[in-house]
Amino acid sequence: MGKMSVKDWADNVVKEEEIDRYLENGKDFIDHDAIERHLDNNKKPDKIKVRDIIQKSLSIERLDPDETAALLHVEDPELWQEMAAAGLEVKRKVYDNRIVIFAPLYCSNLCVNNCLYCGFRKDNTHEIRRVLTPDEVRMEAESLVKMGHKRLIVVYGEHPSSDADYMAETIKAIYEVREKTRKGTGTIRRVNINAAPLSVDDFKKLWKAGIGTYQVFQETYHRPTYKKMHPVGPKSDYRWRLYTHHRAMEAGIDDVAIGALFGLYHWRYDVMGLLYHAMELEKRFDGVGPHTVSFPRLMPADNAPYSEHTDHLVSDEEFKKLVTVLRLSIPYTGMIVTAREKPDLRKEVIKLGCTQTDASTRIGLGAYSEQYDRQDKERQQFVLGDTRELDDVVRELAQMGMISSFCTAGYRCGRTGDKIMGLLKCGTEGKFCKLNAVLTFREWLDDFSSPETQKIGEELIRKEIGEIRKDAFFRNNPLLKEFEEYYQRVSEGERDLFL
Amino acid sequence: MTSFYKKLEGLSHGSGNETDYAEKVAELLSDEFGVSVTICEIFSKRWSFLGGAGLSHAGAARREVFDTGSRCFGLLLYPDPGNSFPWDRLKPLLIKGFSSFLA
Repeated sequence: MGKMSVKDWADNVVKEEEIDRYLENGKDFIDHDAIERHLDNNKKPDKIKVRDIIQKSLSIERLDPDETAALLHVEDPELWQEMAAAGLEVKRKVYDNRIVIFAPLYCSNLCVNNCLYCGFRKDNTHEIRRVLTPDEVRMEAESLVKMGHKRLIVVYGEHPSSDADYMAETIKAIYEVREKTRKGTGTIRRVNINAAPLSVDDFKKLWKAGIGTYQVFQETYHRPTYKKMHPVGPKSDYRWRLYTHHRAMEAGIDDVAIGALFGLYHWRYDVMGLLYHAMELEKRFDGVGPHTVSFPRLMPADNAPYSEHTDHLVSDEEFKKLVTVLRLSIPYTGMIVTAREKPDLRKEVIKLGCTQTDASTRIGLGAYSEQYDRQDKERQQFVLGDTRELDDVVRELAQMGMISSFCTAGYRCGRTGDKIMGLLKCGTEGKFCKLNAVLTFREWLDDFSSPETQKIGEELIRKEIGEIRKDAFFRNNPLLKEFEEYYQRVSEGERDLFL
Repeated sequence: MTSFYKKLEGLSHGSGNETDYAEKVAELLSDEFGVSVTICEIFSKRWSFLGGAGLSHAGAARREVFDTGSRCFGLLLYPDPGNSFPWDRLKPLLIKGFSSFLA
């Protein structure tokens, strides 16, 4: 940062040339009039049409805007049930019955922006500000490894004290952590990043540091609302944010994650925005769409009045609908439901086809290693709905017949970007997922589970192995022999074997 | 030197970049040893695809790593070719080959 002031730093974040080169005839890919038109033209879809759309999704084809708009306007409860069942089936085809588990790690909450709904906004004087040192980050990671986590989403405020160099340093610190477990050694195997938009050069720094996925949410695709919500700072530039995934991809980071903060504007509009975003990424990057889609709902935040006074708060029923439609519209993508949601709702939404969730979540700075109150508003970006421990979440998923996966194999075998996208669309990645889910679940049960979870986990793992042995895909495939050998070795205490 | 090693050494004098080179090396190794070969560049724990089979039909049974000094690369092989894969002899040739494209 040198001697540059925080204000000067913030004024120099946006690089117009790194927006303009992606525009087409000076326009970005969010066509407001087209979105409104699609929504207007598909208000009363007939049953036959809706069922045809469901069939298209079940063949793992991404839906087009008219089809998505039609699903968004379904009113018949029976059709919604069919859509929900289809969503789970789509997920099973692409990812099988595994749920990837991760934890967030907040590294900094200094921010140059002033988003009206966010506890980290710069004018919030209630917030206790802090940037963790690399040693403090390491301690947080150690605590997470001791719980059994292998995959993190690391979160930073937008500020010169947490710039790309700092991020790279924290990634390195996290990857260095090694902790003894009951039968082996635990490490963090994949560090994903949630950070403000960066330049291509900054993304290259993260790439070299070994980043997994780069995640950032547009918050809302509706321009007037975006402008109102983000009055100052680099984040006030809609297009700088809209094209950040393009810059990440250009820098080599080929797993990118999109999302919208539901509750800022009308939920149907932002589902359409997410679809447009996925279509744009597919178009620009040889069919590589978003690695995951997130759909957080606006939650109360400390001293952020808008978070409690908006006309667009999304009800539980609407939330389930938007998740269902997203699942069907972008069938190949991962879908993340987080601990923002309360346990019961999270459980319901997972059954609509979600692929990832977090557990033992703390979002305060230093909250894992310092073990202060689970919900400390003055150190958090928002208030969590679910603070259950990892063991509880894993057990609940097992009771639902879903296997918690700690797999990070894909990005450690070159299966990212177009490589993984092709495998997802044809269903092959789901086969790898199943094998790796079992291997990592075996590790986790042996190293971390409570007796109660161990018991139900053993039943689940026996069922999974039975299914693998019966699956025609594996029957004459040397992978099965290799999997059986790896399973034996993992059971004996060897760690981090993957396919 | 057998024709295989001559061919491998010859690839490092070709045109293109390290991605083209990785593609050609993977193809040559695959033909010679009858296994699926993928070449990745390694960034910390991330193995980023450079060239080869892309592991579209199998996992990685064997991993080999080599370092050019400034960058690190890895080979993913499936199935494991066992002792028939002369890694000790191949490794210096690959380091030399990749170094020439990175120079």
